[in-house]
Amino acid sequence: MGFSELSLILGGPQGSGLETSMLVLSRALAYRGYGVVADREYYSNIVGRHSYIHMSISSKRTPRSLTYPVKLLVSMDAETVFTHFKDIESGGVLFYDKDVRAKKVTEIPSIEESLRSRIARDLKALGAGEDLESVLGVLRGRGVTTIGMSFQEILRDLMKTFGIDPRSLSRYVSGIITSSAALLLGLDREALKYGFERVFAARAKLVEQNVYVADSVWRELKSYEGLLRLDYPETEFSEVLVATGNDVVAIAKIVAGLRYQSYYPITPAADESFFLEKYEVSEVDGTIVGPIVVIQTEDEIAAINSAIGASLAGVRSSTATSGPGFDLMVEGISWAGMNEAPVVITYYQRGGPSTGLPTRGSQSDLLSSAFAAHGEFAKVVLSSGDHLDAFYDTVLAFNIAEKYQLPVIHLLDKFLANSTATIPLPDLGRVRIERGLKPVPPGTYKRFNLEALISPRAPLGTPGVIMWYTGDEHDEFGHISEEPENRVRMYSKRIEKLKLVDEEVPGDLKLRVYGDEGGDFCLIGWGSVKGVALDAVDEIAKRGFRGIYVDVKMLWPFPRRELLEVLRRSGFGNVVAVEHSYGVNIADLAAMAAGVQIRKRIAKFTGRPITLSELTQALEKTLTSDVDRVVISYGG
Amino acid sequence: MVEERCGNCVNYSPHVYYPQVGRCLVFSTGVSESDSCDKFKRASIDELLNALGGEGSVYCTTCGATLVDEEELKAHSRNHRLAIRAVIDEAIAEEARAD
Repeated sequence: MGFSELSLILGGPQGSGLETSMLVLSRALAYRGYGVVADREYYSNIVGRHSYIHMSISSKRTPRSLTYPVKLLVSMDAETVFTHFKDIESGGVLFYDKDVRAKKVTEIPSIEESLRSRIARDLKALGAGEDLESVLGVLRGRGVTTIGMSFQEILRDLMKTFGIDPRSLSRYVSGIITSSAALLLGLDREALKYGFERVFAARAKLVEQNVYVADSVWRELKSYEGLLRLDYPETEFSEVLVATGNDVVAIAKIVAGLRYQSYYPITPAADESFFLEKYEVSEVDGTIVGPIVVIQTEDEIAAINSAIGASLAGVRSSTATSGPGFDLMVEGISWAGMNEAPVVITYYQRGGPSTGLPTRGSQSDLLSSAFAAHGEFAKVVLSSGDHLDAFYDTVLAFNIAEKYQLPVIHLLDKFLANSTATIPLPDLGRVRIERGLKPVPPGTYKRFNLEALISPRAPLGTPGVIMWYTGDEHDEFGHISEEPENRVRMYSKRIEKLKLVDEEVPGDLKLRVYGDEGGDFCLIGWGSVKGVALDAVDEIAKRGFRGIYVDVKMLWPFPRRELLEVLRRSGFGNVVAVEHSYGVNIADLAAMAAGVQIRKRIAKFTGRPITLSELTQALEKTLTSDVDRVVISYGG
Repeated sequence: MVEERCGNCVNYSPHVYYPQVGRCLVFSTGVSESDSCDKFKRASIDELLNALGGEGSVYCTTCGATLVDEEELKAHSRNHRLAIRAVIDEAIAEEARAD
């Protein structure tokens, strides 16, 4: 009997092979049929600071959330153990480098002073010294199995056997990490080798050397094999994608028919564009897909404006950014609104304001995206709850943009962008490309024809067709006009397209309800809190509270009717909102758009993901007391 | 008396993350800090000052920091392990970016 669900942390210095470890282990697990979700937490410097991978594994499905405490901590260095030793549950396992046992928490320069003091205080309270050996003693006292191995010996052997240059050692430390985790979880070496082969594709020597490392680890830790053995997988995966949120959105853009993507590099958005650059020209069954033009512009102003230009030329175009970049794009979005230019802005939120927490997650830009840009015009804001939703929503974003000729903001966040998950292959039968192109009528072409809210859209360069675009108010041809009657009609036309969106987009693309209605509570959220919210609803049911989760997918125009209907059915009682922000702003948006007062709010704004344990506790607190606001903050 | 092993040798260049292993600047090979050979040369303050003058910096293994100043070097040399330079891992570029 093993574990059907298990959480673990892999930790080490940033840039030391941690990312590689996550990719290898995820692929090895997926190869054997396990479901995985892994969040990557890292500092906003390039190298050296403490990073970690928080992973959930399931033998039954793709996990939806992360949780504490963890069953396994695999550490590359002493800092990882000092930072996370309290996260290991009793009966869990710590794997560590025994060459650093004497290291003291006071000797690690990369730990921030406040954290160092807190760790030192915690150790003192536990009656332990400040060195790693003392922490190991504390853990053993709590029933944690501590397994040490000399990284130095493994690496020395490797250098001598293969003549490896020490400048590439981190590639092999990741081998130690993944091998030890695989061994403890009861994964076989063939699966591990598959992971190495996928990650080090076309570098056969690296695969061979990492397999050599795995053999060394297996020899030394043989007696621990399967100590945390996972149950035999029962997932029904035939094929899965192992991909990040950035990857999935990029894949979906290719499927949606993207032809132009602009970007200025920014965390956590840039990886999406890097992925697209890799597949600018793809060949499927002898047919060229694309090509997609991907341009790294000089800044975000150029990024949005060039994407608008591509859109006017008639292709599907988009840009990807995060908060600081979006702020620079705002004038361009207003221009797109004025000129009814369909463009998609994929917006990965991170902690703000300003550069804020550049590599940490957030949902604090909800109001900023819904109300960005001067003047009034129609724009749509969509969100996605998980990787698979993000795939379909990306296609939807283009469809809405083109059908209604307006800018669409696809609001995602770092948690989704940077987490890797096993994802069932999207059902391409569900994908519809709706470009909303109307034939250009014969005769004089009016780009902004007022006969209907949606005017015929001819691409620039259409033979025999002339059009004008300007940031100023304009007449049906696009010529500048300040004439009041024209202003009223043209201004209203642009805004009233929003009514069409509200009426025509199906309800389940705007808002989804999970769980059985008629219970004790209604948890409401949007975006990447979906997974943890669903798990919290299930978890709290075991404590006697039945409820639903309402995932608001279309944030603007706000699905007023749909929300009111759900709340009416549940009697408007015990509504709780959850969000990665201080304000839990979805509650304020609901108040403004639907007149609904949501007093109970669960907020997290540390930049770390909301975990199942803390959300369940917070939810229980809001349901069983008069407490309206709970701030949660777990995670290092 | 300083133990004559690579970790105490002026020609030992420690890996930036795993200083227990590194590169020998004499033989240009990977070594571990517990290795030894007959080319051992103690990382004395004079040797390090020479390196500072020649290379413009030395590396404090304890702090994971580059030192560029003589006073700084002297201060660190009291309790810290110093080396002429560190081995920077080329795989760093394959890891997480943070713009």
